[in-house]
Amino acid sequence: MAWLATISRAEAAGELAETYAAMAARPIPEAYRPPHDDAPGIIRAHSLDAELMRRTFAVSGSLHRSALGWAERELISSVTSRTNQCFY
Amino acid sequence: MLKGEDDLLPARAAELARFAATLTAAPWSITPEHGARLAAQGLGSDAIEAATGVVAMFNYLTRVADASGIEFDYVSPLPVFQPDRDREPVPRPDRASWPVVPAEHRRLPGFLAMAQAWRQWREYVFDTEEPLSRRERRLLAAAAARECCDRTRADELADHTPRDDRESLLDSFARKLSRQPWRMAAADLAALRDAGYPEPALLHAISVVALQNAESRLAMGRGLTAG
Repeated sequence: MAWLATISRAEAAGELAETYAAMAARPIPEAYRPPHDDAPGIIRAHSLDAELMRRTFAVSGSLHRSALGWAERELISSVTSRTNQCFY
Repeated sequence: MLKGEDDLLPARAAELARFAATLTAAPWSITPEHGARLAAQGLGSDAIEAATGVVAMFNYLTRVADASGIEFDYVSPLPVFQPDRDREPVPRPDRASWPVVPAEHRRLPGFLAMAQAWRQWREYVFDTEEPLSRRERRLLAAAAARECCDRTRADELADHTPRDDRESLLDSFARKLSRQPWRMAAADLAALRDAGYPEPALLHAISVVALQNAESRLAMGRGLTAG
């Protein structure tokens, strides 16, 4: 259980439910679909503020339309996470 | 998968990895030499900017993951990653030697989709009044900018230093999350909670610190690689 309070997709209502639905509709690689019915933890971590969730993941989504391909973006994100000693 | 550039992969990948590691751990030490080495691998300014954007974004996301205590929720055939929580951060240089990123390189990313999204994101995170005040946001951002040795941003926020115990708590939180995100624990959020910050304010505190870490790296990755 996260240290920060979060609202699951099943518990969400109104603007948060709509934001979760919009995010779930985005195309993502199969590897990034969690093996549970809820949203990935990093998205759920923003669930106390649907507006913040929407604006944050609009930026990460925009990176997919940049000058680097998927493999190089994955390499860079993996090295960044590892350098920060983070599992994410 | 790499569309005919397989022969470039090892050296190019190694250079990208080196750049990502340096920009993450010691952004102040990026130099035009990094840019030249990336360019020698066929990476143009738009690709360097894209790489910088990914590093910046993941310096945000990893800090949110570390501070919020979310759990890993993907299926992976790889061994479970065990962070080295005792790792020491790279020592920060004296303020006098912090690099100055010229104003023209502090603009938002050159590719439009990200620039628009980033602007809307930063306005919300740095400038809204609830559930943290603007002053509290600037205090957090100032501490994060100092940890990144981002002289321009630190100077811009120089007036924002703690005035009381509650503000000192925010300052300590921002410093730890910036310098040693791998050491974050439930107690760090509990301390803010005990000081009276409601749960949404904790999310915003995390977000401000994480975004300043991202934005300082965005500026330094772009500005310091330019010749």
